[in-house]
Amino acid sequence: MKRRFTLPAAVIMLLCSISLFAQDRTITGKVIADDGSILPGVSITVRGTTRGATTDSEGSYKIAVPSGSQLVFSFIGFTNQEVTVGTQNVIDVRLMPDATQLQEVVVTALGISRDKKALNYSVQEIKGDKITAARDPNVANALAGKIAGVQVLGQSAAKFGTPNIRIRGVNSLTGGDPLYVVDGTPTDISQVNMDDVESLSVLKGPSATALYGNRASGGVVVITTKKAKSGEAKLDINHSTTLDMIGLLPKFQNEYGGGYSQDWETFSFNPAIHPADWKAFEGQKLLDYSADESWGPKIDGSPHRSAFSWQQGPEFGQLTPYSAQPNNVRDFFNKPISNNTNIAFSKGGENFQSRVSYTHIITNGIIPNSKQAKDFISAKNSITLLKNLTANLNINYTSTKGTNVPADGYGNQTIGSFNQWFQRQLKIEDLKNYKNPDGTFRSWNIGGPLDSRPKYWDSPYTQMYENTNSRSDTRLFGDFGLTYQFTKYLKGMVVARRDQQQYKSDAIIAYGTLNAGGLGAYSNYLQNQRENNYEGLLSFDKTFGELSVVANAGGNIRYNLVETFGQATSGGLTSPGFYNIAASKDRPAISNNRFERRVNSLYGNVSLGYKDIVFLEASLRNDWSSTLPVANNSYLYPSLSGGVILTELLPRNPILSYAKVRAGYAQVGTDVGPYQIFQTYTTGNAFGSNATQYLPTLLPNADLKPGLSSSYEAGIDMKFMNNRFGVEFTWYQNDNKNQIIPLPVDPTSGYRNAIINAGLIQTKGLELHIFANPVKSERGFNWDFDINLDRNRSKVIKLADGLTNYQLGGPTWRTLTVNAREGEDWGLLVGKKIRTLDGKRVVDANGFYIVDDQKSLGSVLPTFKGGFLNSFTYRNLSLRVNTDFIVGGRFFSTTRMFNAYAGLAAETAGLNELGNPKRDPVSAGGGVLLDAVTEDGKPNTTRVETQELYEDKFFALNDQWTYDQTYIKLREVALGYNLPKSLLSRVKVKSANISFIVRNPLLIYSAVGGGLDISESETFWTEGGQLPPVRSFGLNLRLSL
Amino acid sequence: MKKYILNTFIVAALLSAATSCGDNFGTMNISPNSPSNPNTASILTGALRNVGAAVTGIQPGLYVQHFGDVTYIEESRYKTVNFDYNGFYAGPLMNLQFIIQQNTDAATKSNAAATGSNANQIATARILKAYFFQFLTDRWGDIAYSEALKAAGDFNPKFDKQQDIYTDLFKEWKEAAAQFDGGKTVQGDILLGGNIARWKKFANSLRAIAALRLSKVDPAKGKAEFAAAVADGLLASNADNVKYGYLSEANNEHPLYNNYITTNRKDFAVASTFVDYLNKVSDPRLSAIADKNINGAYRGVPYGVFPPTWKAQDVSLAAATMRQQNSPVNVLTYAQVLFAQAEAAQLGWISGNAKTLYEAAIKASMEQWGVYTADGFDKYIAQPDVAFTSAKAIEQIATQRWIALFYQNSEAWAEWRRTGFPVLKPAEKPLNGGTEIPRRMAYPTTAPTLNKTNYDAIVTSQGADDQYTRVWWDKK
Repeated sequence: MKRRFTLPAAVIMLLCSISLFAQDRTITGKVIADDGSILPGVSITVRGTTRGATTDSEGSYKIAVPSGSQLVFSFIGFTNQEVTVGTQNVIDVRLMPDATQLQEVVVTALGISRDKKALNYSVQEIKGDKITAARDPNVANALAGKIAGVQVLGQSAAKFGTPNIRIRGVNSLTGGDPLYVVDGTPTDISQVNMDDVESLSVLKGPSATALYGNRASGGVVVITTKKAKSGEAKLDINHSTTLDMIGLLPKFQNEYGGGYSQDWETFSFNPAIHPADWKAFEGQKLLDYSADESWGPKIDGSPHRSAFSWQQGPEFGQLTPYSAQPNNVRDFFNKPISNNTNIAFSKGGENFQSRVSYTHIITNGIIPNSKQAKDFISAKNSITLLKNLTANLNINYTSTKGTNVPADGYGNQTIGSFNQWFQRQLKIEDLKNYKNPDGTFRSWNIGGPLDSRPKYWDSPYTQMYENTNSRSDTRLFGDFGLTYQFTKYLKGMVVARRDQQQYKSDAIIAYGTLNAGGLGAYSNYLQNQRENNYEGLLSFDKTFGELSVVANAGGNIRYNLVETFGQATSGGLTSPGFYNIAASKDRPAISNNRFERRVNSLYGNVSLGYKDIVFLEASLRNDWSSTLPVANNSYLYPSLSGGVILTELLPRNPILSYAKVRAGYAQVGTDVGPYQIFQTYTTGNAFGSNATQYLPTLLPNADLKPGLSSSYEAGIDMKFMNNRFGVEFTWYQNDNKNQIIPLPVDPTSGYRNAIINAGLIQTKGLELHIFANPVKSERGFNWDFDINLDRNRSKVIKLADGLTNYQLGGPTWRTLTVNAREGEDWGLLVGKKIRTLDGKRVVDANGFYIVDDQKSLGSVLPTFKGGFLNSFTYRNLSLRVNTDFIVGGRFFSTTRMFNAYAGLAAETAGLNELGNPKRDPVSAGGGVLLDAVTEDGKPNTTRVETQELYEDKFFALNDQWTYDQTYIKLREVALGYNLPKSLLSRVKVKSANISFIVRNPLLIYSAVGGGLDISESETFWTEGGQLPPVRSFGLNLRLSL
Repeated sequence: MKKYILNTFIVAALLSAATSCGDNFGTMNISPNSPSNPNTASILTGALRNVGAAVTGIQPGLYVQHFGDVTYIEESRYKTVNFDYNGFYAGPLMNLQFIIQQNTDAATKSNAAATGSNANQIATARILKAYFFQFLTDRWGDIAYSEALKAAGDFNPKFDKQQDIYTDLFKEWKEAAAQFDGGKTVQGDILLGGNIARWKKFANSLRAIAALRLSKVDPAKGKAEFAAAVADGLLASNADNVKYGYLSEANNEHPLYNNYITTNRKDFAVASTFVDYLNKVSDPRLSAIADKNINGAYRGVPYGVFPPTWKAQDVSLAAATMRQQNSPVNVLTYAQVLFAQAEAAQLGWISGNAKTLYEAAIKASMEQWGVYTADGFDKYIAQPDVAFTSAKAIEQIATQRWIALFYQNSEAWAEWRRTGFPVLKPAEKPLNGGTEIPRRMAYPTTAPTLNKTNYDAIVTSQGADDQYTRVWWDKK
């Protein structure tokens, strides 16, 4: 039914009919939207006739109708409303937005809005409201689970990181970030202000991205920002305050404290080395303070000397009870309050639209003394002159300032220590006092009573308060463009776009702390980069009878420049406390680099639609890239797609409301980074006054060809029961030919990598999007949900002559690597594997697993992944609950390995199957019995020492710490309440909404376990010292004035 | 009219955008960040910076029980099985190969000669290249050699037999030493300052020691090569010692200074095996090699015992005097040359008195460690363990060489494997799946993953890729 009232049909009807009827009565009125804004262009028809009218720029209309007839008000994106004409002469109407229909018009390549049914490829769009329910400031987090085929490579909010996404999994050997395009300007994902986002389209395959060419091989995220509407004057305020806290920690044991041995050490006075008054300490219990593990004495509350009792201050010489501190790690983390405020003004008249917006986000980290402040300022302006000439100016300014932003990574001084290398009995209050009055630093991890220099770790507070860092990222992007409407059907556009960034960072290692030999260090880094795009586009859009034609032709010049400048002191600082390059003891390390490239392009496309039944589209693009050898720097690639709307050919029926089948073929060419063609030499650290130079270990290639990926895509879209249920299914295959990769080669050849055109890498996938509105009650209760599922498999079909393995990462922890191998799934983990016999693990005569090296541990690619999004509304209340999940795929956890190695994990303590403490010697009934069989298949009966098992045998035993990635994560919950209009109208507020939001509420299930959330992993295959997830509770207030 | 002008303007703008496509971009793709022209002197310095690393890589020093682990009792129990040689191939070896090529090719040789005569640069690079290759083959056995370093010419080099590699090394050192000419001194030589006489002695001494490696597997060839090397002139005093000097700067600091002072890790201390033996023979070198522990005693770290019951402060670290930030390490010493000659004399390969040479070697070693006194020396060599006995000569020479080679890790391990002396007890509970002291390093994972066919072939011919397959010269 809905099809009948889509805009073009209504307009055509209207144009034909307007003057043909006798005027019975004249009705006037005004049409406004749910939020009070004026709606120009609403079509009003008289049911059963072809009569109609449209609202003007003020939202007013006038129509002549017979009495008793029914008026139908329809507008794209809103639910139709019918009003029976009674005796009244004025009928004002408020239209409610229609969530289902909102998805009908989508923004495609080059910012061209298209009716979704005319597209022959999979595009999923989501509107701002659906993305921002939980006010996650990051686009990628906000996208998690919401679009089939999109995987979020999350980051812990503890480091304010900008997560990234992968579209359709691994499209290439090296993976690839998608291109983010904001109102036509390519920029960085971190520059997207969620409060400005009107809608976001994810263009997944080459059919959709063909016009973007070169950089679109990882897909494109097209973001359209909000703009003022004609006749509207609006002030929007959106504010949220959140309380953050640590989301997850490993399960720690609290039975044993620091050390490598359960035996107590006692103080033994030696007059030759100890001060005389230390004689009183004779016989006192000591721990091994130099140990950063917890295989020490059983925690028994007995008086002992802590590491701090040997350092300056009142604790010196004190005995303290040796007691469990189950919450010591949790207590380190703050529960900070953060704020996110946006204010936006918009006003539109007949010939101009203007919107200015300001967002200020203060995020205080859960790690003490860390914070980030981010400001977004944007202005979007459009002025129409001379009736046909429109000038657009969009300016976006972003400033991000980070203070002491912590890092993931194995050796990081906070969670890297707590989860991997720590003493369980430490009191966090003791660590807080990290500095002595004389300026020297205190640590829990010292050499011994006479040696208070930190051994492996400073106090985590030293790290956060003394080893400080700062970074500032200032970015300006936008465009200036002119559009000229030559005729009703032809328009031309020229636009100049720029995205420029200045990034600055510096870091201090405080004099006297552990690193840099205790001599302190200072470094800074500056990066300037910019991208200019100059483009021109001619667009033609006309319907000839039953044939609609949309055609575009254009060209683009892209120029990129990156300049970097980095300096670091070397060998310490000459003047303690003076953090400046001038204080470098040795010759400081200084580097400056400049990278430049240009790509020129010409492109065009044609879309044909016949009777709204058959759609065909073709495109062609040619790029010229400065980074390829001159002989091979031009490359041309086409796309072709078609689709048929089956329901147009079938009789109307109440079940199947819409069905379309579609198929497409496209190619995309890719180039390479600058300077990979010619041999140059690397300058290394000097040896005294002798300069050094090296051959690079990456072999350049003067015969490089552009990479070419061919993709095939087919799908079916169906809607049922008057569009209340729907399903979109897509199958695709990408054949990546000649992909340019730094192929690892056997280094005995003299090079570690060679830039080559790889043979053929194939990616196949399935995507399924199900949406439904199962409950829509008359009493106002509504339930919508979306399910997204996808499966993606990449395979190396052919690499290069004589080469069959592409090592993607590693080796780490001795021999673990991740590989793309000919004939195998992408991302194959290879390493040490526990031998099995009929599915049971096998042990040797000593009761330890038998291990084989260089064995497959499975692919990192998930079996499938997806999301489940729910939206419930009841009158003024709404509830959004978003879940995402991954099933299958392997993953190696360094944190889990060392959590156990260092005796911190709960699994390393407690009782064994005999009811004895695991950590007691095997001879006393302790130890662990591995669930395994001996080589002859008999059940294992040999228990092994627990410490030896975890420290010795399980260390670097990759298999033991490789898990399924499978997880289900409740990512966000938002409960909103729209304040009643009756209340608002009195205070001149158009709309107001108050929401309670929770981000990261619950990791429902995780196969990795161990207190890790691998949806926030550093890399796709492993993590180490990963920062903990952050759980946020917040209140959000949205006001429209 | 107005409209027409505007239309023209817009179309012109679009056209001008379009027509500028397809140019050749000039020099935009030439990197401004790294030089396009090499400087072979700087490349030589870069290659030489790896000599220190070759000498001081710690694992062999643990295998021969010069050192023990302090905290993580792993490498002394042979935890790492696969070792990475890739940094040497895609590093000094490739760079030295490049120096040879730059000084050989007609197109580049005259430019290259700016930093030393072509012949001198080639000779220096060949000696060093052979030095690194010997280092590699002694550790891994059969390695890529004849087909290595060919870049895109061969991404899958085959593994050559160690026997063939040794044959070529003798030739390389011999030819290279003869290749020096009277031309311009080589620049960038941070090892021997471009001193041709010293390079020749270094090359000849390397040949002699390499010849002695063949004492069990091919004594006839060993004898001939040894005699030829002696005739060409070996190191003749401690002043001739080849040392790699570290500097008082963070980028070029002594590895033990880095481990003990810069990072404060103190991962390795002098092993109990070593300290106990030196104590037993009252060796004056102990004070130059080890520090006392916190209680003022020489206490070696118990070797390979897990779990540890001591801390760094409780054991003897390597002596502060030998691991200053700018302390040198020994690459090849006069003492080594004398021990080699003592052994050769004992084997009857050369004339000369084994006892005299043996005692001279001990004296040279004590002088080298700065602890020689005439009285002390006389007493030392008179005690039963040390006093030369012809029947036990090989063991005595090997044992004294084991002391003299402290912190020449790779060389000490090679000599221990060849002679079997001193008799060492393996670590308790080794972690590499074996029970004995390693006799070889397994190949890096890149060999099976990136060069599988050749890897499989060499495993078939050489034996299992583990730490117990003996290299060719390591004959029982």
